[in-house]
Amino acid sequence: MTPPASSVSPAVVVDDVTFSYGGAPVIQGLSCAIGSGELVAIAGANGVGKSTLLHLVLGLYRPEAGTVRLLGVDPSRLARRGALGYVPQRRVIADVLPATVAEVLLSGLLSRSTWWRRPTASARARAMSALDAVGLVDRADDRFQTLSGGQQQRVLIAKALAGDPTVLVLDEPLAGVDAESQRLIAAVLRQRADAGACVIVVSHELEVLDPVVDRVLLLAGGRVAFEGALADLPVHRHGHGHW
Amino acid sequence: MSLPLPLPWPFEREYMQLALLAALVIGTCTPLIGTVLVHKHLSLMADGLGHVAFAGVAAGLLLDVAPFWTAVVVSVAAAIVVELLRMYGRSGGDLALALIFYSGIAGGVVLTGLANSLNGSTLTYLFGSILTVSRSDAITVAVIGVLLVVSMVVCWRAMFAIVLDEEAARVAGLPVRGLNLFISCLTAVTVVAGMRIVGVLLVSALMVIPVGAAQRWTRSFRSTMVLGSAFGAASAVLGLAAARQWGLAPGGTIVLVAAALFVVSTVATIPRHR
Repeated sequence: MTPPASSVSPAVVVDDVTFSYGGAPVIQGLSCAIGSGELVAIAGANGVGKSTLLHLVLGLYRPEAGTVRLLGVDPSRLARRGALGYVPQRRVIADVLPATVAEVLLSGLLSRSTWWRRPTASARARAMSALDAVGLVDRADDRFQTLSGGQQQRVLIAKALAGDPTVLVLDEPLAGVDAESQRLIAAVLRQRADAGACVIVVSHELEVLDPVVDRVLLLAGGRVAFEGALADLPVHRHGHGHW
Repeated sequence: MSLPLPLPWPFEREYMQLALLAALVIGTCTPLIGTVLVHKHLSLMADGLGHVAFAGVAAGLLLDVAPFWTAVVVSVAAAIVVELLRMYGRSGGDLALALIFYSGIAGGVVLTGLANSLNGSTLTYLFGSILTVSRSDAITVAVIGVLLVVSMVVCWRAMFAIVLDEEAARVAGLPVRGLNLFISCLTAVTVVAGMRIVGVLLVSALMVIPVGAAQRWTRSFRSTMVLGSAFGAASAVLGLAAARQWGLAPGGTIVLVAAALFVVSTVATIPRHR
């Protein structure tokens, strides 16, 4: 496991941030910091602002008040977008979209400065090793839609890992995924954190993350209501592994 | 290059060779951008822009300016407006398209009425007039085709990333808004280039139908673009030949051949998709 948050360099700093949708506040004065080498789970009831927090961290939304720093800068001005890996909340990729697993994977190598180029051989090799890490390297030439839901999610995680990100953000990566894929995904995330990446996971499946996660941030009322080890999470102590 | 080239029937005449060149370029290029449109759920984009191009043609007739270029200007402007509405407007993409679609055709009708040219020459823009393609028309279409192919070779990976997940593409730093605008503008220019070949009312069919046929056979996005282009080119050649043989309207015949390829592909691949 990694050292506590206070002793590692903060990759993500959220300071007194407020955000609302059409006047309805979702996040109110929220503050937190997540360091490099940390694997942090963000939990909370539906609609509490977990995905909104991720969007703020990634620079997709701008806070109405407060500041967000990602790798030391305003996220919307981060030039090194290749340093980010992002797995959005799972979407159904249309059955009719013709795409191989390799095409989906390699699209994760595109970034602001290289999107028009064919990925280099070394970048492709790195992407294939990410696919290997999720146990699907032998399916590279298969049509993406022929994979199970859990396998598709593993490919999307490999896509996010393909650029070797220093900050990895995942929104509900375990939702609707089979148990074997959940365990494999959790192990891969731990490996990335151990390799020095800052890994942030929004998830309801806390029991699966229990063996690998460093800290849990529980959101409620637009703020961080609890921060600490998963075992100390009040409701979790009562045997609820699912938020 | 001196025409006619020593090609066999039905392409032995100069006018048929110019038609063949133009049809091959449009048949090959339209499915390239069509693959992106179909999978962005914007299949009707080209149709809407075709109607706006008709307004551009009418403006050209009214102002006594080359209708091709007024159609390019008007349809590119409309493509930009549609994309801005999709980006910043509260209305959805389909409503934005409908707004442009109906305004375009209404504007075209009003302008052609003002120009007193709602006649047979107007119909050539609506339904195509490939057999009257001049050398300069063919060269213009070929240049647009080359630009489109180069654009797609450079941009297809990023366009695929946007089709797959626009939000993730934005996080990766891809110029998503710029590329979406570029896709719309490419579509507009392609529609106008295809105007003389199959007409503004049918050019969107060549963007969509060969793609639908190709994806019955393919596994990857790239191979869908390539096979869609091959189907588009085959539809153009076979449609043109059939039109010459039986005295049919070439534009409509080309689209019907593409539709036949789609039906054959669908039936032939039923066992694979079970």
